[in-house]
Amino acid sequence: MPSLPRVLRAPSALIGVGLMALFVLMALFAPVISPHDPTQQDLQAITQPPGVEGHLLGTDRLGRDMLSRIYHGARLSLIVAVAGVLIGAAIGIPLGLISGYLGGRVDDFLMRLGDIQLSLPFILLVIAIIAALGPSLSNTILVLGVTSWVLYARVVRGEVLSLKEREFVQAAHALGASGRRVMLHHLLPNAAGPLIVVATLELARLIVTEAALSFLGLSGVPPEIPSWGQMLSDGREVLFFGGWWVATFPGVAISLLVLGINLFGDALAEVLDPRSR
Amino acid sequence: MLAYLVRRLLLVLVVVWGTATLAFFLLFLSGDPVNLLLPLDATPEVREQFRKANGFDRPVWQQYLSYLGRAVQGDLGISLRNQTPALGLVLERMPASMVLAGAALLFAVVFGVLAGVIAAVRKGTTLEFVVLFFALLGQSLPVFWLALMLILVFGLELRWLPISGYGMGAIPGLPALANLVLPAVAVGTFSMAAITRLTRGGVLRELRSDHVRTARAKGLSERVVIYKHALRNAAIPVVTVIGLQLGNLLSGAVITETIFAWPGVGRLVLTAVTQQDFPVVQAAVIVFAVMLAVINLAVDLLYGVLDPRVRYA
Repeated sequence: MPSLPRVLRAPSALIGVGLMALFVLMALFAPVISPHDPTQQDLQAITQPPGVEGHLLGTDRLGRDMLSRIYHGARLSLIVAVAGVLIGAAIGIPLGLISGYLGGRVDDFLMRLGDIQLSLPFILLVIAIIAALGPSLSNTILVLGVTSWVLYARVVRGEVLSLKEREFVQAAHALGASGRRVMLHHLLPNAAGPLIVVATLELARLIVTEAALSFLGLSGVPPEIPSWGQMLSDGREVLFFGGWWVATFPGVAISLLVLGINLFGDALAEVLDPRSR
Repeated sequence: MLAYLVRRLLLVLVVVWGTATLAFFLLFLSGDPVNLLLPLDATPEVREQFRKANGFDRPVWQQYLSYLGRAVQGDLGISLRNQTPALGLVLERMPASMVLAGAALLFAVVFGVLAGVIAAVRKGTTLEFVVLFFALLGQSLPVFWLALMLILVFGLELRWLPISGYGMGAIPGLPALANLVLPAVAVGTFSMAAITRLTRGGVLRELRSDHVRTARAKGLSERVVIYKHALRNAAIPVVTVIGLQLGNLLSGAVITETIFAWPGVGRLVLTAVTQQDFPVVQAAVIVFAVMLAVINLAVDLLYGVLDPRVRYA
């Protein structure tokens, strides 16, 4: 495990962590810091440009305050992506351990399955599954999580393969440790660093994918919950009538959050593997 | 070489079979495939009739085998909306998607390699910092938002480029160049950023290598050293990533096509999803899998051309 301070020595990592923290705080305190109720419609003040009458970022086509909606949108985005990452890791890590530890047919089967999945355009796969299941918020989280197992499994498997013939693992076996114990206590901790890198990459990817699904109207997020993707989809419609801000600001929010995660992930990968530079 | 080719072709078949299997079992995810294949308001009698007529009353393994049998013959089901073969609908739209993904790839490779070489050669300068910053930014912008912003700036404000449709190209079947620009830039930006960073890393590594030092010692010009000696070797990982980026580009195309009213497979799939036309979605998944498997094989074979050390065994 790299020490966090070493990662944070890079200025880019600091900016990344700062951006991430900003959005986490935004999500946590959304009700406190929002100037308006994010679902409050005001048909007297539809598509008001930024800065008008207490609407710092303007209003959308139902007169809802953009800034408040962006604050609240951070909640949905982070919850869906974090839940997706946890589900993906919870499936991928055990499969990777088993695949690397047992080898043979199990390994072949799991890795081919991963190859097949990665060879499909991810969004098409997700859309096809959601079309079959029917769109709903829980289905979206589930599908994003389950379909992202592959990278976790690959990373863990790679670490296990490179470690399982090493002396300390042989020693654990010789001392009578069970396969389960060797996997969990001796092999898994060594994969922690690369796993965190994968998790940051996946977090960024899931944030964008959720926004894409919401944008396409397939995420099943109820309309009363503010979502950046849904806001972009609204913004697309008013774009042609001069309402540039409705589509602009939610995208800025997504991009900054993803940029922050990428900056942090890059710095982390660099500390873990200095050769990558 | 021949043994390698046979093995790789077998792997392509495995991928295609796996995807077809996945597409088949997707039908059962919702519990009852008949629900997905009939309109929501179909009466119970119609449902039963449909179930019998299409063999959904048989055991699943029998259905699976006959599905595979039909798939091998190119029968991927009938579109519920158009009542025409789903495969035909997908293939009809494929050229437009390929043109878009191809143009995006071209954009990504040309500008990505160029920016990567500049960043490597100007290491430590402000220029390098700017290039790297934009590369990181490019990897953080969601493709659909970038598309909207391009429409806003170049379509609605500056009025330089058309913002929707395929247009009429000079060559029949191809889009008008002006119509292609914005979608291709939107779809290609993420890959361009990835290629920039990879090229920079590769060229930096090569510039430190012995053969580049030798080339410099021989008194070759810096231009020859960079483009003939360093870049050629740095190109190998870039070619790999092009294979990987194709999936990304096609994903981007699926989302972006709708925004630009581009008549490709992505738009077809999204329409099919909203119209509950599941066979079309299945056919698109399978066709994409076949295409990507074949392209990845081609990329692997291309290594041998770039790097004679690669042996196919």
